[in-house]
Amino acid sequence: MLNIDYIAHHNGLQKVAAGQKLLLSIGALLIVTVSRNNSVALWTLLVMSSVIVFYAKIPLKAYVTLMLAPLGFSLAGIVTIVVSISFTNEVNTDMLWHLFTPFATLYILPSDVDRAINIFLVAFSASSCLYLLILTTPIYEISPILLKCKVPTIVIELIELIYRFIFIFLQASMQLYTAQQARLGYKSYKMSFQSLVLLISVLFRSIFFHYEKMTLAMKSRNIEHFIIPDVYLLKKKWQRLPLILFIVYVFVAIGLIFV
Amino acid sequence: MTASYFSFEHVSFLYSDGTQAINDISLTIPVGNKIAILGENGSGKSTLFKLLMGLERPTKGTILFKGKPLKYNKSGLQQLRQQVGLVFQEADHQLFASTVKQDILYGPLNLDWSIEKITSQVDKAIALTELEELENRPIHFLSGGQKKRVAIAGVYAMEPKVLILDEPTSSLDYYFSTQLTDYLKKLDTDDRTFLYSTHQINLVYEWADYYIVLHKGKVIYVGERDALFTNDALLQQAHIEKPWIVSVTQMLQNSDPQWGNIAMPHSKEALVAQIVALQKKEDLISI
Ligand SMILES: Nc1ncnc2c1ncn2[C@@H]1O[C@H](COP(=O)(O)OP(=O)(O)O)[C@@H](O)[C@H]1O
Ligand SMILES: [Mg+2]
Repeated sequence: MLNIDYIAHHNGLQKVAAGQKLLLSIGALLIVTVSRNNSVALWTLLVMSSVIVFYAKIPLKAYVTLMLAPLGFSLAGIVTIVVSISFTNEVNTDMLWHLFTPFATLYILPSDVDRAINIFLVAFSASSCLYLLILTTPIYEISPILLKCKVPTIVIELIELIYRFIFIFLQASMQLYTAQQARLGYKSYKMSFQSLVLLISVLFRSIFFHYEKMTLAMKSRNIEHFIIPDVYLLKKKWQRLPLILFIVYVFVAIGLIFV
Repeated sequence: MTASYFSFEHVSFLYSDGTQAINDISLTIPVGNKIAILGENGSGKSTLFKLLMGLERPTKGTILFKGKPLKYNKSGLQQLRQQVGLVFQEADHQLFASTVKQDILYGPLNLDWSIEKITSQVDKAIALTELEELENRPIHFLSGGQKKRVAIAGVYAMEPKVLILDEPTSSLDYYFSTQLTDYLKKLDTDDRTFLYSTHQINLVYEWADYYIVLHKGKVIYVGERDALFTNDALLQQAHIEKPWIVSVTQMLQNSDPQWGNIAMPHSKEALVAQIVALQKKEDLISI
């Protein structure tokens, strides 16, 4: 998890302007979710994954691991869509599968399968769009753009702080876990549970402690607001290749919609 | 009377759990001195710094900044903190930006400086702490010592009139520990005061010209170095190591009458110069 932030700073798309990456990723996201078309979704998944792996040069293994999370979530969600339940014993004739139980009948309809596949593809390729943004663009490069889009400062600052605290949280939990392991805290099942309970309570305490200290440090440096104006960020020009990529992507997608 | 930045008048401070961290302290922090703050663990050094920054309010007594009582409203504190900078003991608690450069940038951004001045200050601080190669690295991928250097650079870039460092060398390697006093020398001007708390006395002995010793929340010594480091009972009480220059000089003084009246040197060079001078005189006599 800690790696996401590292990858966002060290990848092949580092020199591309954040606005351009935002356009590519959010543009594709909109096209996928608005069109709700299977081939567009597959096409988007293909383009985003290729950009992430071949252009941004993010290790395939890292990307696949990260994609497992949305895969799990979408699959879990789909089960409830595919499987219908009926409490009467009426049997629909075009069922693909059914299971009678004393109380109810579980069954699957072909139309539901189509719907599920569609939702799954759309959700899955939408997450690849978001990964493109997350994996190639550090959060502080997005903030000035959000500011230009008139998002309230307080919201942007909250996003940045939450982002920062996710990493503090992860780091603290990893440190504690290592410390416990070093003293054999996870040797047996029983001890594992005890250690885990301890880990969680200490984690919360240490996060509040950290928060308090950080507030002091910010106060003492007089820090009032912390969206970095983009004059101080490295100037990044809009590049031709990503733009061409985006245009090609959009045309193919539109073509696919009308096929 | 020399000018002073801070004056403490019978200041006491209790933490909310009742710990008496500062106990009836009266002292002044003069302008233009390099001050070492010494004292055992838990003697109140970090608490003293929090009081100086206005992060805590004294439970009793008053703190004056430039002759006026500290104002704890927003503008008063802002003014104070534009002139007083603190490098925290734990760098981890001080850094919150995404990358090294950004963290250093935050302080100056919140001062009313021009873009050129901010950029040049930040670059200067980065060059000084030799962080060029780590400039765009996310903070949580740095080692403890590297984080410390970022923390130092972040405060350094703001050019505070009073620069406070709370045990800055505790996670630095030998090279950067010795380098730190060199950094500070570059910032040294007539009207800048440094406060530097440490247990590594040999690192500051040559550099610091004024000493404050805390013990259990009380000030037990304020002043020049000679009277402090020849007072064995006091050193022992406050867990302070005797600088090797002082030990060696004392050994020389006691070893032979001819060394008996060597003056206490403040640097290696001064010690060697005295020995060489005495040796020459002796050679002349024996001729
Ligand atoms: N947040 C706090 N709450 C309660 N007691 C504290 C707190 N911080 C420090 N103390 C206590 O105050 C005393 C002085 O601490 P501190 O100023 O950190 O000492 P030093 O920096 O010299 O090691 C110690 O006894 C310490 O335990
Ligand atoms: Mg301390």
